[in-house]
Amino acid sequence: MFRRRVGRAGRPGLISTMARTAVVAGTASAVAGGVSRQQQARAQQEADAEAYRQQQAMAAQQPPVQPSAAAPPVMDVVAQLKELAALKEQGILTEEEFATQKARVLRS
Amino acid sequence: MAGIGPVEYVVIEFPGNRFKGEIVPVLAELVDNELVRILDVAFIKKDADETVTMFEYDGLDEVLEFGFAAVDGAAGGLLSDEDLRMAAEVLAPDSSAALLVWEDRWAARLAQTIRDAGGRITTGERIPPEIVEKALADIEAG
Repeated sequence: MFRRRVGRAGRPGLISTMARTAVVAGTASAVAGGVSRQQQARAQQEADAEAYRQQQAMAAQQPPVQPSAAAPPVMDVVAQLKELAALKEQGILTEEEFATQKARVLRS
Repeated sequence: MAGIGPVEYVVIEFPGNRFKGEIVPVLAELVDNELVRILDVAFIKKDADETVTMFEYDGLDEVLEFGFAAVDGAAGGLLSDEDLRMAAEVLAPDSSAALLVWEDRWAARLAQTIRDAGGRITTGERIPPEIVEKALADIEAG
């Protein structure tokens, strides 16, 4: 039978304590396969998507006479690699698919 | 009695707005065989519109139906409200999840022996199955 212990409100928690400890120790990126890492990946994806939207919006505002000032290609590659890493982290891409896509991005 | 073994949390997500009872007898078997000890458990539902609802093991008829409450273990205290919120964020919309914190009893004696011998496990990580499968297949292939 389950025994009910104290409630959850105001407790330090396990997942959150791990996340806090990782931030303090500067090892946030090294926290093993957990909720906090998935959250970081998601936040990164959202930041990337936002950056992309801003980039598109800026490009749309450019006067037509200017040759479409594309973002520096290096940034583009980094963003794509981050995106791929996030997808792998979430288990959407397998290690192999990730390697293939990464090679493709680096070649482009 | 050996000291506490490695403790881990798992978030078990099922698609759809319904918990699955199949895991309950399997979990009960692990507990009965003293392979794991359940230290905390909570349930989360996330609707298609991302509305999140959290439940205790006795707060949901369908969970009681599966006989979850009959499994030996404890609930409360270890997972905080914030933990549940963090876990809920990574769930897919329209899904149901069980959060479990368990102690690997099967590893407790090993852990105690390591500690007694003055050693410590510095790091470790669960390896995704596809990486293991690939590595094993590579070995097979020579």
